[in-house]
Amino acid sequence: MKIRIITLLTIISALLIGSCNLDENDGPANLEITFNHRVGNMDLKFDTIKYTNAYGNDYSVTTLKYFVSEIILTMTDGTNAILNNVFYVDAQDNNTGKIYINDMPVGDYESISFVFGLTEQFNISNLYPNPPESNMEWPQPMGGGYHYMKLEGKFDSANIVKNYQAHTGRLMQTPHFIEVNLNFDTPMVLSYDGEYNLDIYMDINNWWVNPNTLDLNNISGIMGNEEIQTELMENGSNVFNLGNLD
Amino acid sequence: MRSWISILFALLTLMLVHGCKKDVVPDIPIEVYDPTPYILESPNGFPDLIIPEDNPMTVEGIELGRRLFYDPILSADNTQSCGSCHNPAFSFTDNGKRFSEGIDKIKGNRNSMPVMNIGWMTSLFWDGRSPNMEDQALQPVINPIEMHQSWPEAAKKLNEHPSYPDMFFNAFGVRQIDSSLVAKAIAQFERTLISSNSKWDRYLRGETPLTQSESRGFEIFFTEKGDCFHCHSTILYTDNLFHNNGLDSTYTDIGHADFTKNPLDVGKFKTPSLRNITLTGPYMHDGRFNTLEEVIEFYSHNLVWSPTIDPLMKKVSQGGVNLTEQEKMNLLAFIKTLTDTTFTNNPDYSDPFNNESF
Repeated sequence: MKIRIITLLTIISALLIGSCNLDENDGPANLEITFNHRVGNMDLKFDTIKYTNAYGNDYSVTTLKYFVSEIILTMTDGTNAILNNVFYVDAQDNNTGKIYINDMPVGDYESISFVFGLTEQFNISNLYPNPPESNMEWPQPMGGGYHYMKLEGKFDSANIVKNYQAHTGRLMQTPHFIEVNLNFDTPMVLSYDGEYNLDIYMDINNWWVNPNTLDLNNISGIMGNEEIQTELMENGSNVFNLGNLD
Repeated sequence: MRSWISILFALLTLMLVHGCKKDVVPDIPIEVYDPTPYILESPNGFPDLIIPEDNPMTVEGIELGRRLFYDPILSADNTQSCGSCHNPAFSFTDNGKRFSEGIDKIKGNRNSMPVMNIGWMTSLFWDGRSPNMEDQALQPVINPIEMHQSWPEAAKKLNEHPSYPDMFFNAFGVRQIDSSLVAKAIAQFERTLISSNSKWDRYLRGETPLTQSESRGFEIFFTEKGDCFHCHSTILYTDNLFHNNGLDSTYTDIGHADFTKNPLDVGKFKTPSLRNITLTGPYMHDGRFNTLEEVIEFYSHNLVWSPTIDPLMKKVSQGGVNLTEQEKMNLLAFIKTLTDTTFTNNPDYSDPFNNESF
């Protein structure tokens, strides 16, 4: 299911009154944002213990599902294009992870930001009754809402294979979502009627390091663990980077 | 003016007809295919129901499907129906049996699954080999250890039946019965088999309180203490996915891998819903546990490692989630609140042959 944003794109009114060279002849551009998943420089391969994290655990990934919300693209003049919505990504499902925007204002963009996880307006139990999003539910006795992320797999610990589950979310009343800010090296120039694809990359290895070096032996049954929830999401600020616009 | 022309035309027609020989006018009433659409509501909080475009729900289709579900005509020797192994009193499972016996007295190797809330399921059978009910309903009829009848033979018997051709016409507009129409009718009936009125549902609606033990069991279920909720998730109490839940170190019945041919799926089976689980024993795909107490004991202390065990089985190295005796009792008390006797006693779901001659 390609996420098509036709009318959801909310252009802040500042865009209309700002200094961004828009006039009646400036139509929209088409932008596809794709979330990709890597370990280091390699595309993520599931189910095989072949990766090594900073702590030294050899690990695999069997599941990677997450939400991002409130994507904002900022022009060089400071005006924002805001996607006030939620996007579900299952790294093993090619029908997810692509956000198609067909009324993107033309102009020069300097950065993109998004919330990893769900902001409070989107993190309400039963807001998504249909699968696959419904299977991300975060139970009521732990505060309700939805998992921000399910990152699961296996790792080798002293020649014993064990399971890990990096499940993040709002623990009771404490949200843990993070804002990710990514700057373009050179402005992303969107022209009238152009077709563009912007790649965003998650490096799985970075979930386990910077600033907190994590041992996968401690990443199990962590949904109620405030300290590890916080550490994981601190690392989460550094797991994304940008590819080239094409 | 127009009405005068109509009357004149009618009179002329009458005169013409009257002047003709009687056998020129067909004596058979013209049949009209005009099925009654049936709106199937999804209960509050449940996911949207997806009805296939090529099998819209109708009153006539559901009634036909109900009769076919309970009619032993679909078995080779006319002794077994779908309902034989899917009894509503047991939430449409096989009367407490571990394995079901086909018409040739041969037993299968997997426990009969409940036909309940399956309108929301994206795959059917323990191994997930069927994508929908229209496909699933085709299989037990021809399975040599179940109803053991070819579809041409089943269709022949139905086509020669005094009532079925008319019922198929009313449901689908055609008299020529084939396997796909039989499966469509059964699927329509099965989509109506919705359970959403357990004590838990009534609690959610504010109609009844939970006991202290049930509430504590709820907290065990929905925290990582018991960690049941990751697989038995959502209001359906299943994620409709496949997991190796740590039953065995090696698997002779390889489960989902039987269908996908992917070695990573060895030992994975479809998560069953826990709604009405008190009625559907014995438990697991092979019915190895007779009671829910045994099931809770398994998840608490007896998990076994195997290469494809699900990462969600967190405490396998400790045998399981290590619940105390009191916690086990509380968890079971909560699970019992998922029983819905208004579902098992619903007259619309019952065997129509018990009440009338057909």
